[in-house]
Amino acid sequence: MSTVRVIRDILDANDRIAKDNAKLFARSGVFVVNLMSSPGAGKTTLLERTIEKLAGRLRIGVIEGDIQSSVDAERIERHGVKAVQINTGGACHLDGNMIRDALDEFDLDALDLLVVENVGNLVCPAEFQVGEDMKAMLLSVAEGDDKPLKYPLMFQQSRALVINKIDLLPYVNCSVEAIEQRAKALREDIAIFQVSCTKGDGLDAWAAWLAAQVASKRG
Amino acid sequence: MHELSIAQSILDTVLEQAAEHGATRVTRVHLRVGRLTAVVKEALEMAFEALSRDTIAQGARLTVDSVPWRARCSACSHEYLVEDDLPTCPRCGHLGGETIAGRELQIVEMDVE
Repeated sequence: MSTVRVIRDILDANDRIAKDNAKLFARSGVFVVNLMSSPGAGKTTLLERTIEKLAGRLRIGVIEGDIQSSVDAERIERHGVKAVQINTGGACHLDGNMIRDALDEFDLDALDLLVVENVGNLVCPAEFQVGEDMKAMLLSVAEGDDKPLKYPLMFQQSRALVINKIDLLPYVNCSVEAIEQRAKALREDIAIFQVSCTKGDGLDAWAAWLAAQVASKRG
Repeated sequence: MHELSIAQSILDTVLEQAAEHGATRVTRVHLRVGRLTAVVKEALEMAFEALSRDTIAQGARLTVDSVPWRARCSACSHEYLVEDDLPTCPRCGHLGGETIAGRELQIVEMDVE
C-alpha cells in the first residue's frame, strides 16, 4: 500500500467549466446574475417585475432551473423575453455544465443581461459557480430573520440581497433590521433592497442598481 | 443533497489520480472539509459508496478533517475561531469579518495498492 498526496479542490472541474462560461460572457459583454433563494421566496415574480422595469433599456435572457416542470420559463416568455428551462431531474442546484449546455440556445451577443434562476434551495447553489458576474439572493420576510444564521455561505456569496414580501411584515414575526445586520456581518459590502413584488415597493431602486451593474461591465 | 455532486467529483479525481499512479485499488480517501460548506459526512459516504461500486475505489473509506470557521475582524484585524452563528470578534466585540478558513472542500491524499 502507498499513500498518494493529491491536494485538489473537489469542485475544481466545475470551477473550470464556470471559468470557460465566464470567458464566453466576457466576450459578448453580457452581465450574468445567478439568482438564488429558497422555494417560494418569489424569484420568478421578482424577475417578471425586473423585466417590466428594464425591458425597454436592456436586452434580457433568462435560464430557469427547476427539478421539473417548465411553468417558470412560460411565465417569463409571456413578457417577450427568451427563457430556457433546465430540468435538473432531481439535482438541487445548477452547475457550470448545465449552463454551458443551455447557452447553445442563446445568441449572447444579442443580450445585455442574462439571469440564471437557480433551483430553490439555500444550501447547494452557493457552492457551485456557473460563470456568473454576481450571485444575488432573495429572501422573503415570511421565511424569518434567522436565515443568515442558518445559511451563512449563501449570504457570504451574494453581492446583493433582495428582501421580498415586505407588505407582509405586519403579519409575520420578522425583523428586517435583524436580517440586514446579520447579512452585513457575513458580507460587509452586500447591497440590500427591500421590495414588495406584489405592491411594487422598492423595485425601482433594485432595477436601477442592477442596470448600473450591467452598464459597468459594458464599460 | 449537494453531497451527490461532491461525491461524483471526488470519485472522478480519485480514479484519475489512481490511473496516473498505476494503482489497482483505492482503500482510503482523505478529505478536508470546512464548516461553511455544510457537507454531511454520512450523506457523502453513502453517495460515494453508491457511485464507486464496480470501480477500483469500491469499498474505499472516506476520512475527513473538519476545518473550523475562522475570521479576521474587519475592525481590529484580530484572527479568531467563529464559534457562534455569526463572526463576532472576541477581542473588540465587532460583528463581521472576512472568512479566512472554513470554506475548504479538498482531497488531500489517498491510500492505493
